[in-house]
Order: sequence, then C-alpha cells, then structure tokens
Amino acid sequence: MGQAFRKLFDTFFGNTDMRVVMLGLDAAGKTTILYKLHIGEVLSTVPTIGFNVEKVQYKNVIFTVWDVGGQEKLRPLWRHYFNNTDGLIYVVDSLDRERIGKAKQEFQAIINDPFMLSSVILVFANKQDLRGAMTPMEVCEGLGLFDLKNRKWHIQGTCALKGDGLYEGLDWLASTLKERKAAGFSSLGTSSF
Amino acid sequence: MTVIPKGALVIFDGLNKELCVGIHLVVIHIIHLGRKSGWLVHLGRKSGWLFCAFYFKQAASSLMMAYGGDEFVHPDNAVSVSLTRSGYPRIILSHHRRMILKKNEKADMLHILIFSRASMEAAVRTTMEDDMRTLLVITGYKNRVESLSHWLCFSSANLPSKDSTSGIRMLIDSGCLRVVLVCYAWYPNVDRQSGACVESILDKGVMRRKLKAKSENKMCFDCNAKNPTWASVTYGIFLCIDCSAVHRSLGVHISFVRSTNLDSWSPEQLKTMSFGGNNRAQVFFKQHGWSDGGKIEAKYTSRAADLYRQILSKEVAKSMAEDGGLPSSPVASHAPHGVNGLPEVRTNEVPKENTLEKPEKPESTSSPRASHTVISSTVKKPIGAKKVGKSGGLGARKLTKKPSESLYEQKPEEPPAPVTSSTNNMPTGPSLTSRFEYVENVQSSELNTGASHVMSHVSPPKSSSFFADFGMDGGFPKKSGPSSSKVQIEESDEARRKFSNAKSISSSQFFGDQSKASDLDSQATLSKFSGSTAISSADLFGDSRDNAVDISASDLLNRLSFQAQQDLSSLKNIAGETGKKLTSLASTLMTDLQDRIL
Repeated sequence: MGQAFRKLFDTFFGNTDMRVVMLGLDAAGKTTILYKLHIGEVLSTVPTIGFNVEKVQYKNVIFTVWDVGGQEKLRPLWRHYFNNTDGLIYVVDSLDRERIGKAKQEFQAIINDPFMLSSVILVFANKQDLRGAMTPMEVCEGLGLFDLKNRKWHIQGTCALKGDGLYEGLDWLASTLKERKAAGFSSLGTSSF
Repeated sequence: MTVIPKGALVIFDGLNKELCVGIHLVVIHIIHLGRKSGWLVHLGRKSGWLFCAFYFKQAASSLMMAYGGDEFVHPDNAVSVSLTRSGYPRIILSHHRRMILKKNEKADMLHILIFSRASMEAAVRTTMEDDMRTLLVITGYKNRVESLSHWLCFSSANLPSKDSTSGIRMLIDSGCLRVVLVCYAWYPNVDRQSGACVESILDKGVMRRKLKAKSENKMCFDCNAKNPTWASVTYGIFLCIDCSAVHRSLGVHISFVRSTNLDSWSPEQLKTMSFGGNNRAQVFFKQHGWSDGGKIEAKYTSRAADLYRQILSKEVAKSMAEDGGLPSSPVASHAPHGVNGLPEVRTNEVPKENTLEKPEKPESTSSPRASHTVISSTVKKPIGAKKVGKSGGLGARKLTKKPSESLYEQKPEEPPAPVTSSTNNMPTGPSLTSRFEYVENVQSSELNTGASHVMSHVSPPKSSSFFADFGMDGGFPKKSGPSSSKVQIEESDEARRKFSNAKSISSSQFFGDQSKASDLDSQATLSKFSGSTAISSADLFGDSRDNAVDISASDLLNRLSFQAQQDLSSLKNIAGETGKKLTSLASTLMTDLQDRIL
C-alpha cells in the first residue's frame, strides 16, 4: 500500500532521468555550457580531451549530460555515446561561419545514426552575444534543419557566458521528452519518427 | 629503424588470403631488413619452398580461424598480426592488442590486417583510432585500385578541388596518416616502365613535424610552457593547452585554435604556421609594444594583432595563389594520365563543394602535394618478391597508366552531382544512410545531405508548396485563433523572414505540430509568436490533413523497414559476438601451439 502511494507520489512529484549527449565542433562552447548549467558559473575551460559528464537538475528532470570533446580525431568516438540517449544537444559556434558546413556534415552524420533516430534534437546556436554571430535562423539553414521534417528539433540562440537561452532550451527538452514518454516512446524505441 | 613504424594492412576483397599474407609479410620483412635479402627468400632457401608453402597455409588458416571463415569482417574486429620469434605470424586479439600497444614499445611490430569488404574510410578510421601511422593497402582488383586511387586522389596532384574528398584526404595531407598502396596485380597489362618513379612517400607530417621541431616553436607563445601541442592558426603560433583555452574563448574571428595532434590541417593552415612561427610573432608584438607579459585578451584584440593577422593571411593567400598557378608537380609528371583525366571530372564537384565548404578552398592547390604517393608494386607471387625487393626498396611501382586511364573513362559515369539539394536520388551513396557505423562518407554526404533523411522514399515536400498548402488550409484544429491568424503564411520566404529574428525555432513550430501539442506547447507557441522569439514547426509546415494520410503511411512503412533493419543488425551482432568468442578461443589455442611447436 505504502509503495503504491509512493509510486503515485513519484509520478507526480518524482524526478525523471534523461540521458543527453552534447556534441558539436571544437570550441563551440560545450564544456562551458555544461558547467554553466551544472554550477551556474562560467569556468575557464581547457579543450576537452575525452568527456565530461554532469547531472543537471532542471524542474523535476535530471539530465545526465555527456559532453564529448569535439576535436577532429575525437569525433569518431561520438558514436559510442549514442546508445540509449534520449536527446542530443548540438552546440554550434554561431560566429564560425567558415565551419558551418563542417558542422552540418557532422550533425547530419549524428542524426542519421541508427541509435539517434529516436532522439530529440536541441541545437544551441551559441555565442549570440558576439557581434557578427549568425542568427538562429541562419544556423538553422546552415545545418539543414529546415529539411528535417520527421524529427523533433528545436534551435535556441544562447550565450553560455551569460546563460541566456540555456534554460529555455532545457525547458523544451524536458517538455518534449516528457511528451514522448507519455506517448510511449522509449529511448530505445525503434520508431524513426 | 623501420620505414613503417606502425601500420595497418588493408586487403580488400577478392584476394587469395594466403597470397595476401605472404605479400604482407614479405613487405614487412623487406622493410625490416632493409637491403638484406627478404626473410621469406631466406626462409625459402634455408628450409625449402615446401616449408614456405606450409607457412602460407598456416598463416591463412590462422586468419581464417580468426574470422571464422567469414569474408566480411568489421574493421573493429580486425586482427593484428605480429611475428613470433621464429617468424610465424601470430594473431593478436584486439583486447590484447590495445594492451600491447600501450605497454610494449616493440608494438610497432604490430600490424592490423583487415580483410574486408569494408569501406576504405572504415579502414582508415580504425587505423586512426589505433594511432597507426601507416595504412598499407593491398588489393588485387584493378577497379579497386582505381577507385582507391581515385578516392585518395593519388594521381590528382594539382586538382582545383582536391578537398572534395575532404575528411580523410585531409588526414593524409596533414600527415596524420600515410598511405601506401600496394597493388598486387594479376592483370598482365601493367606498365612496368613506370615502376621506377616511386619512392616519394606521402608524408605531410614531415612538414608539421619540422615546424614543431623548430626550437622557437618548442615553447608556448604566451606562457613559455614546454612542448606546446596546440596552435593558433590565425597567428601561426604554438600554444600550450591552457593558453589555447584562452584563445578559444576569444572566438574564431580572433584566434582559431587547432590541436597539432587531434585536428587535421589543411595545407593552407600549415602554410600559415610555416610563415608565422613563434619567433616572428614575438618580434612583431614586441615592435608594437606588447612585451611577453600582458593580458592575453587585450593583446590579441589589439590593433597590432589585427595587423599581424592581416599580414600573415595576405602572405599565405599570395603563396597559395602562386602554388595554384604552377602547372605541374612531380607527381604530375609521373602520372600524366591521371592528371589529365581527373581534373575534368573533379571540376564537376567544385560548385557543390563551394557551397558547403569554405570559399577559399579552391585555391588550396599547392604543389607540396607531390607527396601523395601510391606505391603500387606489382608482385607476381610472394615468393618472387626478392626480385622486386632488389629493384628498389619495396619493389614498388607507380600506379600504372592503365588504371588511371580507365579511371578517366569510368569517372564521368558517376553522377554528375546534382546541385539541387532537394533531389532525392540515393543510388550514389546508399551506403551512407544504411550503414551501421558512423560513416563520414564525404562524397555521398555531400550529395545527399540535402535529402538524406531516413524517409528517403518520401520525397520531402518543398517547403513553399507546404506553406501554400497550409495557407489554403488556413489553420488547423488544434491551433487557437490568434496563432492561426498570424500564420497565414503563403510562402516559405515569408515564413523564414518571420523567423529570421527569432531567438529560437523548434521543429514543431516550423513544420507543424503533430496535433499532439500539449497545452503548454501551444501556449508557448502562441506567446512566442506574438513576440516572435520562437516559432513552432506546426505553424510553418502546417498540419494539413491531406498530407496526414500520406505521411502516416510512409511513416509506418518507414518504421517497419527500420525495425526490420534493426532486427537484422542485432541478429548479425549476436552472430558476430558468438563467432568472435569462438574464434578468439581457437586462435589463442593456435598461437599457443605455434609457439610450442617452434
């Protein structure tokens, strides 16, 4: 009986766990975003070789965020993080117009991976505070999101240093993931929806 | 003193494995013993050819065991081979391999054998992941050689768009990888005349190593830490990881940071580094009043830094242009056919390339490319390798005219690269989407990025027509009044303009909510619309009822096919797993036996 109540309680007030992987080209700001979310401060980060993983609680969702290094030689390792992932956060350096093509290439490779077909996609167009940065719209075009009709995606302009937009993004992620869970999608789902 | 310090051997399909192993060992042995007579020949003389034959049989059977007789081997399951003291090939299991690679400095005896139908990229990737430096490719089929050489642009030294095969190509250029292509040839019409001109082993790494070896570059530019492994390409300076962090935080417009061992380098970037260098930058900054100390941010956002940046980029651009103007490079003279043949073909790809890559790519035609090398040696039989070995090092032969000629003929048949991104033709790169691994198939992704979604058989409706549909439909049931009235969008342009200032856009806003949008969502979209901070796909792509049937049907199909695919692959996985276990057991037994017998 007690357990039943507990369960009921949990469904209303309990935390849900979400496994999220954060990827993007090098120097996009992944680690900065991770720690901004985790401890709310801007750390001076060194290039990530390997990965960082932190738990970020937002509302009543606990995101386990994996932040993997983005150097060219580390990118082949990304796929090892794909399995069992609910969501993808793809971070783009909005200032780096030259490499948006490269970013798109990597992005398309990720989202077309069989393990990622059921994950929701959150794109952070980072570094919006800098002058000359691409707008979310431009990033959207650059990544080819407009042609991506069969997936759930959301692009969010952010500034990791100030923390602008980060929680809006998480908001979307949380609500979308919940919606999915409610609809019966699991992270291991076979749907390509 | 090995020529090939660590290497992977790729043998593509269709070869007699014994022969391949033979070649492999001969090649390695020749390399190891230098000018001395090949070990195999030595062995042959000493122990008789029968023994040699037995040896090959042995090698082949152990390999077969490792692979369970399966022809297709995933590169992850590649088997590395080392030689026992008595010269027998010994198969090292992959988990041991990693341990040995870590511990044993003699690990450079290790070679990975990949017998496979796997793609070249997969092979290259494995090589890279194992920190191998050399890829030895042995193949027997002419068309394989052609496609490989085409793929690696071996014979296309000064093409305008050699970056079109970018990823791995860049690895090769940047010296992270050296590829030696050994063409094991059965076909008779090999031009033996051209065999003399090999020896220019592709090694871009030389340049970078040279740069790093300069004494000025042995310290971090900003903090004098030793052995910097990062570099700011913008200023041509070498940095330590901590200072690179500061540079990265400045943004790419101020300082573009790359790792010297984790990133690939374009020739242009390498050139910048060679023009720059820590010393020069230091002198320049000193002249403009920036001493060694000082805040990094201020230093690199100063006018002096800006000036230096401009000077450097101008110099590089100039030199690149000069290089581009040069009509030929050493390789060109070796393989005139390849050079004549390929450019036309490649130019097809230029425009498409430009749209995706940096605009200045085309000018990256530098002659240092002399270094792409094909050593394609013709070895009739492994046993006869001695002759070849004597004729010069590896007994390597230049890629013959034949292949390049037919390559020329073959090429135009390849799809003339539809530039429109919305085309839906997949046949060119079917491997990309269906492949299980993380394939960075450059060409096909270039072709397909626009349209390569999972729903390949459903032609993605052009956005404009979608909008038009939507406009006619005039809103959909779940949407509330205000939002639908706002969303009387007739054209995609208009829609996009609407989003152009949005802080965030989401798929459901953009394409149409799947009619499941929660209250929260719809409210959010509502409010977002009024403020135009975010747009949902629902509004953009509409939830048009007409399409609903279509889409759901296709979705169902899609799901089914995907499920089938997954089932199949999981089945395969299981089969592979058990196979691996069995074979590993067997091979350990075998190697033990080998050791004991000898």
